[in-house]
Amino acid sequence: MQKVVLKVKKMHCASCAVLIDKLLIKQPGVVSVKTSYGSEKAAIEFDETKISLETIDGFINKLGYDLVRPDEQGFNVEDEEKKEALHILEAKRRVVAAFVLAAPIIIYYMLIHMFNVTHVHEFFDFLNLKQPFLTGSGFLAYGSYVVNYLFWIIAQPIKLIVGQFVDVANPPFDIDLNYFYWILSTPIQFIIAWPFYKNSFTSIRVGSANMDVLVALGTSAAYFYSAIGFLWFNIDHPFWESSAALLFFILLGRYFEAVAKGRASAAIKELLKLEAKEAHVVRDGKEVTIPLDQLVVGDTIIVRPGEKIPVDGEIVEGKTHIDEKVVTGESFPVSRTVGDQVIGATINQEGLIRFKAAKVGKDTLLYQIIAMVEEAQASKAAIQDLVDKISEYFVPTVVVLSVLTFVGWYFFAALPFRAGLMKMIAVLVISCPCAMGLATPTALIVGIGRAAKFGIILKGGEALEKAYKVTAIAFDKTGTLTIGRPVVTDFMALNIDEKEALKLVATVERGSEHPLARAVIEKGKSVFGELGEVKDFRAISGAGIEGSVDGTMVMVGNEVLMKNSGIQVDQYLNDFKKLQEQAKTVVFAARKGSPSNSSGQSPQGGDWQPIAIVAMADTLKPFAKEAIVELRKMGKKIVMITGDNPTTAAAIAREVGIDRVLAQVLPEQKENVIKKLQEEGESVAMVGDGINDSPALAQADVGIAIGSGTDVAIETGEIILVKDDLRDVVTAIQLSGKTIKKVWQNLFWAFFYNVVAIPIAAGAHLVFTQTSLGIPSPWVVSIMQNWGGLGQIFFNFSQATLRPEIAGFAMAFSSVSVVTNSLLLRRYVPPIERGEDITAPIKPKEPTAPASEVVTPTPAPAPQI
Amino acid sequence: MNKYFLILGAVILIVVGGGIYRKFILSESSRPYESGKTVYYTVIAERDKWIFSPEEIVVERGDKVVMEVINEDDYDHGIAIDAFGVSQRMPANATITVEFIATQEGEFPYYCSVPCGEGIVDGKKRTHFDMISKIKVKPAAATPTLSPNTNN
Repeated sequence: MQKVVLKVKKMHCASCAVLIDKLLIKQPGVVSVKTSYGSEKAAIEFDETKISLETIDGFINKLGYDLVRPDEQGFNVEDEEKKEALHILEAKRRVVAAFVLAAPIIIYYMLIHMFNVTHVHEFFDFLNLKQPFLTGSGFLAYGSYVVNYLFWIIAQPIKLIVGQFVDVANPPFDIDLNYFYWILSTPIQFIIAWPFYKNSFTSIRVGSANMDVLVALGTSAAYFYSAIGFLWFNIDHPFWESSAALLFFILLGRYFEAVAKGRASAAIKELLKLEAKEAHVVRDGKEVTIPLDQLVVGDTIIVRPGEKIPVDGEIVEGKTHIDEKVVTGESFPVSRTVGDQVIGATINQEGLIRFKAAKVGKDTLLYQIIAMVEEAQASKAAIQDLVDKISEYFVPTVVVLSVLTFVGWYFFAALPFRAGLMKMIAVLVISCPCAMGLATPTALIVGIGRAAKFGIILKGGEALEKAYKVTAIAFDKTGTLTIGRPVVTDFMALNIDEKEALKLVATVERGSEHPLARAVIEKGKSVFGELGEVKDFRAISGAGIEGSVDGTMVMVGNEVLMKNSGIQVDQYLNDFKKLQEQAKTVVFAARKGSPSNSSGQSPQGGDWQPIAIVAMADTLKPFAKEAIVELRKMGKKIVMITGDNPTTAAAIAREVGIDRVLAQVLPEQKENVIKKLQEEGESVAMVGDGINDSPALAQADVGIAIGSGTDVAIETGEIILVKDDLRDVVTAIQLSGKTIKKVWQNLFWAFFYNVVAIPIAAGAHLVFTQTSLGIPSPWVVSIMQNWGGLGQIFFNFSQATLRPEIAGFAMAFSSVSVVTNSLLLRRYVPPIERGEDITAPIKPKEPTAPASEVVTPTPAPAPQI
Repeated sequence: MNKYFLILGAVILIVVGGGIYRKFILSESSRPYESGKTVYYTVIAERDKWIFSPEEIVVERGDKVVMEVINEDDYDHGIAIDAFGVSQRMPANATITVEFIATQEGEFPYYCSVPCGEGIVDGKKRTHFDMISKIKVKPAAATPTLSPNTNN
């Protein structure tokens, strides 16, 4: 049994993935297939004794797609990017072309229908339009006045140009405007909108009736009815605008989507970038620099300070601190010496080391993470577009209704064939809502734009469509809930002015490169601005430092160092231990001599005396707590996942109010934790920042990356919090809910007019408004007689089937209501932006709920939660 | 099961059902009837009046109706009779011919199907929506074989 995740090229719609899944699984030997259209990947599990990968590839080729086998893997980041850019460019070109061609049709017909404008369908008559005058009052009169004026303005320059060749006032021939519309709409229908036909064909093969099918069906009906009707039957009302407007709006929607869509491949690209490009290897006793792919297991590799460690291995010589944050999430650089493991892509901070390569190429931890991200992305079920979901039922309904209409008119009412056919076509034409293609993209675009205003970057609409459904949120600790580097949390001066103590300690720390030292320096700088010079600096290995500041000897170190130096700290040990229990790194500071001593006494003289206790820890980010409180109020389960030790984890959890903690989770286990939560039926959001979080971010239903995090996390996440403010998680979820509500409302408005218009197009209402064919029902007659002018209008409409006004009205108003409704979303302001104290209504349960349940998983199995 | 087979099945069922209904169940009197007689009418969309005149045309069932439709206006109209599948454009200042066979009895509106504005006619406001007239199809005067009078 073999499982592979491979790239599939040439997929052009979501149905393609379904087609591959459906047909490939039927091949003997194929155990499971999961193809993802979004990430262009297929996860295939097959029995290699029964079927070879080549056979599978051949089969997929036959379907019209291309599987990229490992042996032909030409995975090229540039190609990917080029393809992506090309895709967007193509979508844009289609929109522009469709707009140029469709605009005259859309503007002409929509305006005429909306305002009941008198018009002519002849080119020279159009040019000879007189300057309009206002003929009445009321909405329609003003509307048609404005429209006529617009037409007149458009006509003048054309008249001038055409006048150069033809006598416009007495044209020698007639040109029906419909010829123009026919010429304009034909390329839209068959060239620009060709993908709809292509996708429909695939959809029909897999038995799905998605939006593409609905679009192809509706616009084809409109186009062919118009073209054939105009060219041969002098029909009163071609539906050019129905096909042109519909296609333009949908192409526009698709373009929006393409622009907003995140690039799934980018995550991988970032991962690949992390890799060191070359390694310094000792070969034949000499140091040579070679590309990474030439490394073999057992090579001795030299890494200098500041360089990336190329592959995984074991140190054979040297001692250093390694920043492993990118991979493990550990906030402090860890000390590594002979015999310790090193991980590729981490950064060697101080010393020069030599290590023996243990894993190279695809076996390294980094590649394992890449593989995990790839698999998670491939197996992620794409959510089906709401419009597609509706179409699945709508298309069959419409087809059956249209046939019913024909049968009703032709067979049952026994009317001429032509009457039945016309009604049937009318049903098909009116069934495809013009605004349907805009419903989702406009709401998403406004939602995404709104989110961006608050510092939340959403990669495509999918994140927005899923975020509100989230029931559980998993937080990474380091760098996500916490700042990710140590800061001074407590500074306790002992028998000395606090400022002076801080000045001494911060200044002496300037000599050190240790990350903890930086915390103290920063604290000092924040108080004093500039710090003085340190002399005679000495690091006491593993214990502390000492140096002279303005003639005063200062020593900073742990309690052992103090005791070894004979400094009495026993009376402060209580405070010291208390801070340590809070999972903080605590040190003592002591001094010898006094700078203010001007009596000529040697500064070296005197006894050591303790001056301060300094506690440092990786602390919570501002507003982390508020965010958690608010999320809990929303009923979300909160889980904290960390690679850190249980004590630190518990301390942070207690502080922030999280009661489900998973500590010491290995990078590759984070993903399992998410899977586990998903198996429990939760819809999971993962909030993280590190490379080690990437597989979990990809696995989660919604991956939320912190803006200050690593590039990989940012590329893998679907939502990025730029401001680094965890309250934006709340905003993102709330905004997602609002947006989806808008999408539903939009779809309602898009379909509503058309659904109402379908029975009218079919003439179904005649069953109620007429007693027998052509004889109005008594109730309709009574309304006509009693309701005055309104009654007459009702009567007229009730006795006729779909009038072009109704169709035009449905189209124009559904589009307008959809766009307006989407724009209303711009008024949304998240609670935190409104300045409301979102934590106010609820009292934190801290006093009663500190009983954190900390689980420390044993290394081997997935953590239990 | 492919959804499209279901759709196809439903469509076939509906069409066959309709065919059976028309062939066997539809009453003799309801069947489309053609007398072979042709009647001629002239219908005028009067200039700026938003009216089809005459407002009522009476024909006998089975008549082939040939309507000469004149548009006196400088803008387009249309003429539509739902029941007989008529929907024709009437270009400005032009005359068209509409033909259909009045196979069924009843009163059928024929209306303007192209937006054509509004205005004041004799002190009353008339609009595109008022532009409706009626075709009354009376029962056939006699049995088809006994109706020799053809064109008028």
